[in-house]
Parts: sequence; structure tokens; C-alpha cells
Amino acid sequence: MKVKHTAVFSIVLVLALVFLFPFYIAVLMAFKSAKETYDSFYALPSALDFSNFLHAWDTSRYPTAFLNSLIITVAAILLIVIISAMAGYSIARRNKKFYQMFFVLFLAGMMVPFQITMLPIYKLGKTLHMIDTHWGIILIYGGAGIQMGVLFYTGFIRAISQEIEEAARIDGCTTPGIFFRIIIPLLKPVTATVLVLNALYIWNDFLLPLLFLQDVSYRTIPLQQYFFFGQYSSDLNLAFAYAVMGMVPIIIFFLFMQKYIIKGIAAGAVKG
Amino acid sequence: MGLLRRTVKNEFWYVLFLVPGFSLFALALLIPLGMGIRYSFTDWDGIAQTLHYIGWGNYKNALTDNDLWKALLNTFKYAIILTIAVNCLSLLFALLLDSYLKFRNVFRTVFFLPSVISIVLSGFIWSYNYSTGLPKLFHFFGFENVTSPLGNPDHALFGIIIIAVWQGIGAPMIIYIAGLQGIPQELIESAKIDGAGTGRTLWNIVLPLLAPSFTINMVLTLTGSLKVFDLVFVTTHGGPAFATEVMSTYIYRSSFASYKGGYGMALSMIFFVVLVIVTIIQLSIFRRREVEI
Amino acid sequence: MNKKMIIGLCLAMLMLLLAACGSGNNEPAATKDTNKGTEPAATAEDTKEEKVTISFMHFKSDVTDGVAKIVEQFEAENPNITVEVQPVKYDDYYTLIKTKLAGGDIIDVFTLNPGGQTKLFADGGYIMDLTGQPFLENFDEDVLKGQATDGKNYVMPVNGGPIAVFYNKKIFSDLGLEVPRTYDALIEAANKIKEAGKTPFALGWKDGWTLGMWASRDLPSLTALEEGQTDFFQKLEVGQAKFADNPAVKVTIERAKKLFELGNKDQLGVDYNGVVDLFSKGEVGMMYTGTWPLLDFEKKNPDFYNNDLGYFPYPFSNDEALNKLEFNPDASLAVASNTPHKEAALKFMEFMSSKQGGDAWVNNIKSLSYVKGSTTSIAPAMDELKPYFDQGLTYDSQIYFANTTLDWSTQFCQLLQQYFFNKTTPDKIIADMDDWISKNHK
Repeated sequence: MKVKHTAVFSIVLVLALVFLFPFYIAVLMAFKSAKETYDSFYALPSALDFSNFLHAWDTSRYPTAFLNSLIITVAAILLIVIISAMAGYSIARRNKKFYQMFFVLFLAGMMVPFQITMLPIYKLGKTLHMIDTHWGIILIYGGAGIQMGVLFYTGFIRAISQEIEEAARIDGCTTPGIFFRIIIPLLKPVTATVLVLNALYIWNDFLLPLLFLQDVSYRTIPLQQYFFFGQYSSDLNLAFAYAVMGMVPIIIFFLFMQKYIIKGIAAGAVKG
Repeated sequence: MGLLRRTVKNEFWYVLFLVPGFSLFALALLIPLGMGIRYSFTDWDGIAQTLHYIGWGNYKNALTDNDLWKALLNTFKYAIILTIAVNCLSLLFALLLDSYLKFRNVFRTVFFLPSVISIVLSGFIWSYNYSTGLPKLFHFFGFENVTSPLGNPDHALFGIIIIAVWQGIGAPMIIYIAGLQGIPQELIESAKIDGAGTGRTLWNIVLPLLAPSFTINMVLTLTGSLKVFDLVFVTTHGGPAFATEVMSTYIYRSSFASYKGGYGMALSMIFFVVLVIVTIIQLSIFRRREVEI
Repeated sequence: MNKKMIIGLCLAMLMLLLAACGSGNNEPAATKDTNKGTEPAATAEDTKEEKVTISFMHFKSDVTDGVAKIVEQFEAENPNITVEVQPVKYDDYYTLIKTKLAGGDIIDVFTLNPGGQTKLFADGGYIMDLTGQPFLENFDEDVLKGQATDGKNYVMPVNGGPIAVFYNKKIFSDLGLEVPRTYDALIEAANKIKEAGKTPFALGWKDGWTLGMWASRDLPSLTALEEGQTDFFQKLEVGQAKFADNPAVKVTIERAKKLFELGNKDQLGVDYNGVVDLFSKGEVGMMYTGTWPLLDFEKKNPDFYNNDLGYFPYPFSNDEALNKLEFNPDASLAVASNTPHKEAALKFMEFMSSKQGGDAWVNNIKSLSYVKGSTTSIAPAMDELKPYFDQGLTYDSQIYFANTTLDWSTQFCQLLQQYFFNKTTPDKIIADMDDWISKNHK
């Protein structure tokens, strides 16, 4: 038993090291100078040198990008939660063709990559003056996020017994009343899932910001990263320093919220 | 009249609840898709300011376009291999971590970590690792001829799949762990008492009870992987020798690199139809399962 | 439990928000300061000239800092004009700029490659006709003619450079090799380097443009100069010529395979930066490219850069007389036709065409300038090419498809890559290309 346990432990440990290897390289590159990397790839840097980070910080408008990412992510996930819960409720409670059609439509929407509609969506955004604004991209994320949101909420709400609702209706409660007072409080687990999945997606997305947030003062972190990698295509150490700076916030967020993120994913999946 | 009023009264709120979501869905997806359909009947080069309609010309060209079939094939090859690999590995990881392992929460964090960084980042880090980091590491151990899989048409797609597995295993693993924890311990205990070995218990009891987790993981991974764009774009741009050209990158290349916005839109529409068919198939399987359970 | 979760979430968000504000605060303060600095000056001159900001997008992203320095010089000269510089990687550049312009966005000044790309933007009505602008007088008539589109100057020449072969003088002298002046001599030298256990060619073909750069020069050179089909690509575009009718195509295909076999290992897995590294380590005999890596060579291995680095024209032909030095424009500048800051944009062009502007490109990014009277000695290795410049022995293979917009090279290179791994044959490549072109010509 003990031997078996040790064997499993060693296997998992090796796998973990393999998984961490790319991160190690990124951090290593970020601290070394071009000359040091050129001389010896795997050697540790001669000193803890932050100059790559400082240079990246100076040239990349990191704080602005961070704030943009934060505003857009938070607003968009709140929007997604509200509209998908409402739509999901309708679809779950009305077992009619009309509503099921919407369900299939939303689900089919999940299969449409943004790349397909990239040019039209940009033209549309331009016509409606949505480019270089926070609200424009937030609304588009809303429309994109509702697809998966509806899938989760519909499944979850279907599993909730209708007895309480029927009782409330007999007591004279209206549909919105039922939804906001009875259903919403029951949705917390699935909401956590939707929040977490969308937060990770929106925080890391880069194609939509590329189209919608061209002004330097509106760029999000991945977009700024993308431009930065392009700008310093021959200065890899600098690019890696920025890469590390880009992943630190989301990793910290993950480490702090890990318990809830994992619970959210698990709860949503099992009940959805 | 009474029926109509009753219907309106019954349905009013439910329909209203659909309105905000559907409007945004229309804004983000339906309207652009409609515009795209319009462009697909033109020979628009992606830049000119006027549209010139050419009927079904783009679609006729597309059906005889070998590159389209190649790209479709690559897309499905990628999606199917990735879906199987991610599901097998994440199930294995979940089983390993489900035992009473020391530091298992730390390990779970480590395996989930790649999922939280952006694809731009992971593609950037990995293509550098493939071309420089790993060959140097193998060189250190005495293997001289290790080259980047992304540089060889026979291995490039697998090179990308490895990155996608690295980054994609986190969430399915969590879902499987949750599924495992949902299995009543008594069932396993009693099977053991009945003399079933670990393998038999796993096969006859654990795996069947994981079916719901399996379904959701299959759907999520397959859906995501058919749409793959960023990862291919960041690492190989569809090369070498078209070996990693998937639908999204092919559409992108046609629309922008070759100045065929109209043709690219026609390809998009064909791809869209394919995806809808896949969704319908998935949905029917999904539904049938739901009934069974 | 759930309440805790929400509280936790809110706390985390708040924390992140605070962290962001803490660092974000510095910036408005900083911009305020700069405003204070310039405001008195502006008010002193009163309303004479308003402050304008123009946007400048360019694809010289391998030398971002260098271009930034050039722009700084301009801003120092013109305190009323602020330039917002946006460098974009070449592989993404045209996609991005096309999306932006098609959507009605304004980019006041941007770089373009003269030829097909410029024609596309000119035909679309996106760029201003610069013909007759006084600042164009700073360039030779020939240069302007070479970069004209349908007889008009839509772009202003800025920098250019040879596309030639860097070689390692030490390897060459150790093996007793002469600088090759014909194609056969080039391959012979390469074979000898290989026999000596070194890598003959550095190929960073993971990046699409590197193989494309070679193929889109070798083929037009052979087609126009060796085969005499100078209008081949124009005919190709309208369906009057075929790859099958051009014997040069097969030659280029076989040459590509030969280069591949004589290249470093992992030819399609290593990118441009990777081979720049490899080459500066002194392990490789030759590398076909422009002057772009000079800065990196100098930074990575100054000793090699100063003593062992040579540069010779790529001998595409076995007829020595045909093997002149390939000299191409690099970034040329265009002004958007819809710019609201026409005056400022033209001032920017004026600066770039001045002696000072030309020198700025030479000094900051080690590139050659088209401005009359600019120096060509930007690196020790470049001195070797001086006779070619002095005697006017340069040519530009790109003009042979300058008036076409068909992007045959990307498709061609992907097929070449199949041939490297024996997944196709030269005849099949030619058939595939003709098939592809028949679907794409206008």
C-alpha cells in the first residue's frame, strides 16, 4: 500500500514539474539579459535584475491596461449573469417550441467563432460608435457570453422544483417577483460558475479588444501584450518580462479564489 | 380573444425576459452574421468601399477548393484527438488526485494553473520552448536531434495539441474530481467486499457513474476545439505546408492575406453550417442521455 | 458558504481595484506635469498654432525603440505636434490596417510597401496622392519612379536596403573559400561548409516572411532576367500566363529544396530571431537577409560583427553579369486621404525626407536612407558592398510584380514546404499553383 502510494506520488510529482516547466522558462527569461540568454540558456541569471520589468513597465502602459481589463471584465460578467439568468428562466419554465427555438439558437451561437464575423462586427461597431468605448465591448461580451450562460442556467433551473413557485403564484406573486425573490437566491452555485468561466475568458480574450479597443488608452492586458510582443519581436527577454507581468494578476486572483473557482466549475457542471 | 389575452398575460413576462439577452445576442452575432452572408455573395476584397454582387460564385469556388476540405479535415482531426486526449488525461489526473495523496490540493492547483493564462501567452511561451528551450534541454541529456514539432508537417498538429492539452486539462479535471466525489463511498466499499478488484470497481461502478461529467466535458472540449483560432494563429499561422491550417485560420487567411473578403465570408458560412450540424448531433445525444439518466 | 464566497470575490476585486488605482494615480499626475511644461509656451504663442496629435502606424517592429527615437527628433523640432506611434508586427500589419481603414478609422501616416500593397490602398482611395509635393525633391527621380503606382506617387520613399547574403569570413577563410559570384559557386561553397561539419545556411523559416523573402526574389529575378519574361506576373494576374509556361518556377522549386537540405536543422521550427542567434554564434556559413539583423549581431557578438561578418550579393544566376545587388525599398510612408491633420501629417513627411530625417534612420536603425546624400557605411560588413553602390550595380526584383495584387508567394511557400518533406512533386506544385491562380485572378 505504501509502495503504491509512493509510486503514485512520484508520477504526479513528475507530471507537475512538466506542467510547471513553461512557467519556469518564462520567469527565467524575464530576469535575464539578451546577452546572458545568448551565453547560456538554462543558467540562472547572475543577479536578480528587474531592468527588463522596469523597461517593460515604462513602455507598456501597464496600469492603464490593467484598469481597462478590470472594468471591462467586471461589468461584462455582471451583465452576462443578469441577462442569461433571465433568458434561462424563460426557457426552462416554458416548455414550448417558441422558447426551445431560442435555446437551440443560443446553443448554435456557441459554435460561431468570432473570426467568422470579425469584419462585419467591426463595421457594425463603427457604425454604432462602439469603438474605443468601454460600453461597446461590454455589450458585445454580453451577447457572446449569454450563449453559454443560457446553457448553464437553463439546465440548473430545470432541476429546481416548481412547487415553491406554484405556491407563490397562488399567493399572487407575479413572474418577475418569483424570479427575483425565489429563483435568484437559488442560483448562486451556477452563477459562480458562469462568473468564473466568463471572467477567465474575458480577461484573457484578445481578438475582440483588438477590433474594438484600438486607442492606446483603452487597451486591455492581452491586447497590450500582443502589441508588445510584436513591438519587441527581437527582444525576447523584454517580451517575457511583460508576459510575466501579464500573468501575475490573473494567477494571484486564481490562487486567492481557487476554492470558489473550483467549486463553481464543479457545481455548475454537475448540476448543469 | 380570451385565449389571446390569456396567452399574452401568460407569456408576457417570459418573452420580456428573453428580450435583453436576445438583443445583445443579435448585436454580437446575428446582425454581423447577416452582414457576412451579404458579403459572401460579393467579390469584396475586404477594403473597397463599394460592393459588387456575384451570386453564388464564391460558393461554387469553395466546393471545388481542395484547401477547404484539407482545412475541414485538420479541424476535425484536431478537435477529435484533443477531445479524446483531454478527457482521458483529465480523468486520469482526477483519479490520481482523488486518492489520499499528500499535497493533492497543491497538485490540483498546478494542473489548473495553465488554464488561467491567455492563449496569446501560452502560444508565445510554447513556441519558444519548442524551438529553443526543449532542444537545449534534450541536448543537455545527450539527445542531439530534437527539433520543434511545429517545424515538421507530420508533427505540427500534435505539437499544437500538446499545448492545448497542457492548457485545457484544468476545468475537465475539476469536473471529473467533482463527479468522483459525488459517487457514494458505500457503493465502492460494498463492491470491494464482494471481491471486486480496483480495475473492476473502476470499470463497473465508477466510470458509469461519471457519465454526466463525461457528457459535459465532451461537449465543452469539442465545442471549444472546433473553433480553435488563437493557438494556431499564434504558433504556426497554419503552416508548415498547411499541416495545421484549420477552418478559422483558413477563413482568416482568405479574407485578409489574399484580399478575398467575399470568398472568406462564403467559407465562413459553409463552416457555420457544418458547426450547426455538429451541434444538432451533440444536442440529440445530450438529450437522449438526459432521458436515460 | 455562498455568502462567504461573494464577500471573498468582492474583497478580491476591491483589492485589485485599489492596487490598480495606486499605480494608476501616477499616470494622470505625470501627464499633468508635461501639460504644465508645455502650456506656458503654448499660451505665449497664443492661438498661433493649435496642438495636434497625429497617429503613425508602422511595421518596423524589430526596431521599435529606434523608430521611437526618430519620432522624438521630429517632436522636438515641432513642439505643436504629438505623434502617437503604433508599431505592429509585420505578419499582422496589413490585416490590422486594412480592418481599420475599411471600418472608417483614421491613421494619419502609415508605412506601406511600394508595389502591390500600395496599389491596393491607392485603388481603394485610402491614401493621398503625393505627386508634386515639394519634399519629394529630396529623392532621386529614379527612386520616385520605382515607387510610383500607375505613374503617381502615393508613397514617399524612406528607407531601403540590400537583400543579400551575410557570410562568416572566418569559416570562409578557414576552408579557403572565395566569395561566390555564381549560383553554382554558392552551392559548391555551401557543400564544402557542410563537409567541414558546419551549417551552410541559416534558415529561420518558421516565420512565413523569411522563406517568402527568398522565393519572391529568386523567382522574379530568374523569370525576368534569365527567362526574359518581364511581364510574367502581370499576365499571371489576368490569366494570360501560367506557372507551367515559366521554366524558372521549377528551378526555384529545386533551389528551395537545396537550401532546405543545406540549412540548419529544424529549418521550419526555428524563427528569424533563432537564426540571428545561431548566426552570431559563428556556427553558420551564410544567411540570406536584409540589413535588419545588424543591430542584433552587434549587440550579441560585437567581435564577430566587427571582424568576421561579410555581405555579398545573392547570385541568382550563373551569368555573373546578371548578378547585381538586390536593393529594395523597405518602409515607405503614406498619408491617409481622410486625415483631418493634413498639415501636420505633411510636416511629418517633410521631416522624414530631410537630411536630418534620413540620417536619423541611418543612425537609429542601421538602415539605408533614400534621401539624397545619405551615407551607406552603416556597418563594417556593408563596406564590402560599396563598389556595387558606386558603380550603380543594383536592381530591384520587386518591380516585376509591382503592379499586381496577387499574393502568390504565401501559397507558393506553403507548397514548397510540402516538397521539403516529400509530400508533393515540383510538377504537382506547378499544377496546384495554376489551379489556385485560376481561382484568384481578377
